[in-house]
Amino acid sequence: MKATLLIIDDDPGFREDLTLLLGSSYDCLVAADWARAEAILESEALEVVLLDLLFGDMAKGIDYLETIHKLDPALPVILITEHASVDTAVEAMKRGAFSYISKSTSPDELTILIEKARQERRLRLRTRHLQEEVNQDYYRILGESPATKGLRQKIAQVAQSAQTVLITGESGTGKELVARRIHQQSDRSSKPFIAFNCAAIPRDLLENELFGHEAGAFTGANKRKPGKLELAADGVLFFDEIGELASDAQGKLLRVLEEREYERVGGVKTLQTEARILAATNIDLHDAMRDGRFREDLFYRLEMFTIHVPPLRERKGDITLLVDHFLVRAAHEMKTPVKHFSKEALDAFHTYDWPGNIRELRNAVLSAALIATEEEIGIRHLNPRLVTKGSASGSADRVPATWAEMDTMRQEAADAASREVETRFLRELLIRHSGNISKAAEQIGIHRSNLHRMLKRCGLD
Amino acid sequence: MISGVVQEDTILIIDDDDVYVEDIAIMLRNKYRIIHIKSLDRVCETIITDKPSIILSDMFLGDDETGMELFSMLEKLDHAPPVVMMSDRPSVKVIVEAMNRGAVTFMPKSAGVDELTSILEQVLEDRKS
Repeated sequence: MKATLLIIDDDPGFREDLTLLLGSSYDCLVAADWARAEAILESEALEVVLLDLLFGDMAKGIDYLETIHKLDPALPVILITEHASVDTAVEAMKRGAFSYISKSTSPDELTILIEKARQERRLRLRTRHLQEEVNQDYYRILGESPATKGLRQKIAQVAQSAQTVLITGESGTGKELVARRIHQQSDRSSKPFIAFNCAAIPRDLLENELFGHEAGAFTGANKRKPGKLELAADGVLFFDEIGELASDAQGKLLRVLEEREYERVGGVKTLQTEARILAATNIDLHDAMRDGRFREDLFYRLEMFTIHVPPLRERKGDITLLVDHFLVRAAHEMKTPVKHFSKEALDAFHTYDWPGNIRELRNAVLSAALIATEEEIGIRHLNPRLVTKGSASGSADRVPATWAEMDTMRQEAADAASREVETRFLRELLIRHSGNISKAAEQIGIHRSNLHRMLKRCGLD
Repeated sequence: MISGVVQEDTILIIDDDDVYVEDIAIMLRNKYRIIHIKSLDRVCETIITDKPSIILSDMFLGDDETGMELFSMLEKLDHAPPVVMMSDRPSVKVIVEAMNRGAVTFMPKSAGVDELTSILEQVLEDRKS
């Protein structure tokens, strides 16, 4: 099969010449105006575009270049012009042209260039494909501890069905990640995933957000607005912090789960939904139910299939792997080489209890990687909170025997505490200013050299 | 990121034309730290030790070296600085080739100090964002 080219040029003579010249090797489509070009770009599988720089108004070709890339980022565009000039060449290349040639280029040269462009397109497609694979990886549940393996197993077990799932676990354990993983592993993966945070939306707007409203449902509602349930269509609707859902909405959600029916606010028509419902909570719904804050019937409907996400302290075997993962991500985001932690720092990670779970671990790794200027991240780059707990508890437990000893220890404790406050403050300050000391000093209104001294004292220099 | 010295961007100039380099070094000395090498022999070592923010390289070095070889060398580095290619006899063909190989922009050697500084500033800004 011949490759398809698109020639965009308002000069009929040149269009004809090119078609004649390239017609034996390629399928040439031609467009004399932008509307036609756009229609072809949207409907045909093209491999290369030849675009006249002076097409339409003065030098409009360059602007169209960007429009073409928006439609298909992998499609190489060769700009053609009567007289190729050095200035426009730089501009064209910066805007992403594959090449820039003059109309007098020989047929052989042009064919070689088109073949190069086709090669480039294959390369770009391959890169994009790899990128998509990387993105898919994004919702991977990392870890090899028994707890994590069990979690992955439960996800795999339920993903393929349309079963409603209740995901429980402490804050920061990755409940939304589990929900997204279920979506990704299900046959709905190409359908929408809509997240709905029950705690973040004011009570009186909740039903409106969830079910949408009809025009004229209330003052200001002049257009019909679809709710999250409608947006989720036949994909997934994920209720985060379901324990915070208002009681009226609880009843309506139960109806959605049982009858798959609902009405928009201000609407009389009953609508059907195909969306799969996933829900997460970090509170104990049993307690909420006993206190009358959560409907019993809804609770039993939700908890039929429950996935519990273990806290990080119960899967400490995963810490090294997770730390490596976040370090690679930090390096990627900051465009620096991948750093690593010293043994002491890693030990501290294993000793610490991680009440904020993986979210806390991620933030700790990212901020330490940002602060450390060396490749090795040491214990002094860690948030003191992570370090002091284990080591300081030794001295805190020690009971002073004499007044003098008490006095020394009291002084030491006071110094350590004030140093810790100082360090915490400076650390945040540096993060906020991406390590720029001059800017940081300016913001807090002290001289740069004084800030340097403080940083040195806290081991942050 | 956090160090005692004021951050001054280093510019690595690769050019065998001493007169030209001396000329632009005078123009740029107040704003940047300038490092100059005449061939591609030690380019990777220089990048690793001096950590330039930008490379300003001539397209033609000596009789048999072309500046294009620079790009194959930079591929070996994890974090290569952006390259601005320059030439005293620019042609559309070399510009297209240089920019396809990875130059961020191109500058004719006839450019005055204003144009040169504005190109460098733009590249530095893009690099930081």
